Amino acid sequence: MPGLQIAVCVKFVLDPKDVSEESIDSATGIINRAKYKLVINPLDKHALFAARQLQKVAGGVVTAVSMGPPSIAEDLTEILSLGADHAFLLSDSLFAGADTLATSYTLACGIKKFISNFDLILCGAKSLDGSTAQVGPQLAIHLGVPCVTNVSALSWQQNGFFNLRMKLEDGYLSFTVKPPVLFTVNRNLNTPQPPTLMDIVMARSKKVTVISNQDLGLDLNHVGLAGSPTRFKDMFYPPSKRKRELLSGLPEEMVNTLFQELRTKGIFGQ
Amino acid sequence: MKPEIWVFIETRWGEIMAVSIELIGQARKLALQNYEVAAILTGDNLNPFFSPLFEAGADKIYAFAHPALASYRNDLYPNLIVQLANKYKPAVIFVGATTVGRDLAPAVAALLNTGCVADCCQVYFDAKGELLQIVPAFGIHAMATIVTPNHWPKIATVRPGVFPKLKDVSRTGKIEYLSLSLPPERLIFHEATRETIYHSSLVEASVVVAGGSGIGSQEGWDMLQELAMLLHGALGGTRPAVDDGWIPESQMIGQSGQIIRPDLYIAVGISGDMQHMVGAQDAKVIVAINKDKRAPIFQQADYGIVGDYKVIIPLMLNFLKNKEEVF
Ligand SMILES: Cc1cc2nc3c(=O)[nH]c(=O)nc-3n(C[C@H](O)[C@H](O)[C@H](O)COP(=O)(O)OP(=O)(O)OC[C@H]3O[C@@H](n4cnc5c(N)ncnc54)[C@H](O)[C@@H]3O)c2cc1C
Ligand SMILES: Nc1ncnc2c1ncn2[C@@H]1O[C@H](COP(=O)(O)O)[C@@H](O)[C@H]1O
Repeated sequence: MPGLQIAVCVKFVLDPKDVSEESIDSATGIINRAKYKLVINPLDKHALFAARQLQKVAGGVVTAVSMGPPSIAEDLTEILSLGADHAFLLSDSLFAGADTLATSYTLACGIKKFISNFDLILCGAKSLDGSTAQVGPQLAIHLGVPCVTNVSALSWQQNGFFNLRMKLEDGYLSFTVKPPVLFTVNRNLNTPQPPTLMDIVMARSKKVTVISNQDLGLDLNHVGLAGSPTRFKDMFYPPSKRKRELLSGLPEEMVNTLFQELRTKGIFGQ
Repeated sequence: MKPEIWVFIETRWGEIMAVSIELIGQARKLALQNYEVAAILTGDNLNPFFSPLFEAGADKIYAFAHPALASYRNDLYPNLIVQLANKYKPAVIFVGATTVGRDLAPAVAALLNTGCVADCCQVYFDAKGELLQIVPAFGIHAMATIVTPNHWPKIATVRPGVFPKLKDVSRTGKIEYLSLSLPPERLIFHEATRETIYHSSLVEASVVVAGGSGIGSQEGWDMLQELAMLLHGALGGTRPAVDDGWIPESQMIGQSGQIIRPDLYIAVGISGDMQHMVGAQDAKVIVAINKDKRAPIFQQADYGIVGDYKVIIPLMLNFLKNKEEVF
């Protein structure tokens, strides 16, 4: 048994600290990722950690795949220190402006071309900035494998099956499935550990491969903005319905005014 | 024949999920005389659901029952919806933005090679008949309008709780029983387990007092608990409050926690990060108590008190204890 071939999809997202009105282009709705230092989508660290733990019990290879601007090539070493043996960056200006359908299509083509006989694809359940939670399930369709989303518990059985739970709002569904399969993971799955010094040193000898559309040769009608069925129309600011009133005076006075205001608003029903 | 707007009906634990009923109602409103509203109902025992769906606004129900469909599974449901869509060609498919809906809808979209707009908080047709799908813009207090201009069908997941339910007990409609072929099963289903949700106190409370990382001590949290009690409300908090073990995860408010709509929301020692505030922004009145007058929470509150909660909360407790008969 050669172990598990695992691909982890990692998205680099805007650090929430950097998010402001300027970080979104109001004409196109596109996040200006190039201007900022991007970070690994938090849930993707859970996916990387899960891959690493599976590799410990089952053996095999963990490959990270990310689609994004060329500037993240150097950040990919962080992924390598978090457990990936090898990382692919799919980067081409033709891929820019992709919605989830085009993103998942591009990722699927990259995975099919460069990772032969994959057993498991792991994604975060959702990303911080897109937050659509759609790339995982759509990637599974393009790869032709079954998918379980929002996985909160996962184990690999000696008999060659995964046991897992899909977390719902008010319970869970449990399944068994054999590879190949795709899971999207949530934060309850595990507690990722920061890389050790050893991990960081080891990461330097691992490889990042940057792939452009010259290598993939994808139909331009299926990638980037051109391959995206959904289109941004406009952005607007709903008027704040809040009064934004800072109360003044001594603490006692502020508390009294507050309760008076709440009473006139009928909040306490009289 | 009129074009159809479809709503995927999610059932769990023998009941229709509220968001499916809400969406049927909204679809009925959008349909006017131009469309028919069809409920897409799959599962193992469907009979109890027919009349509630008609009463909620459905003109028609497409029903497909099979024991393997007792609960949601990604290897069967999307495939069946796609078979159905290819046969009856709906114009629009709405799906509730639950964990299940957000698994199903994008898979259906990918199979049909069309767009899916995630997590809409508003959907309607503009004057030209284009479906406008409104989603919150990432991290800022703005909304974006997304359209799916050139692809069929238009698919959107829509948040629970944004549309009111309709109910008209006189309504009935047509039931179309389908014969679809079940695709090969690839997942082996074990069980569906319902967990008690502890958050109901939070979601149903008319007053919610919430603490953030600014509280930081047992005495502080005891004070907030007392304030919540005196106001007949519930106690909640932010992610850091959960991470530091002050409150259980079920009491977390925000994007990854509970979405609440109380009459009064009192945020104490909370900075007002958007990931938290999306969970509380529909409160009728928001009060913020924070010692930093530049905290973003003050921009999102009706009333702000700049001050140390250790001073302010005891005064509030005092006020309530002394004036209890008033409230
Ligand atoms: C993917 C993702 C999902 C998330 N989902 C959620 C979510 O669902 N819910 C959620 O809450 N968070 C969520 N977060 C975290 C969120 O981004 C913020 O980090 C969090 O809400 C901040 O919590 P806070 O306001 O308690 O802490 P802080 O931002 O640290 O704010 C503490 C505030 O307390 C004030 N303060 C300190 N001492 C006092 C005092 N003595 N008296 C009065 N005020 C005082 C300070 O001035 C400060 O403004 C998420 C983050 C990510 C990345
Ligand atoms: N550009 C990308 N590159 C690699 N993985 C991605 C990309 N976009 C999304 N993903 C994966 O899909 C998950 C869900 O993202 P989203 O659909 O944007 O919420 C992420 O956690 C990643 O695992």
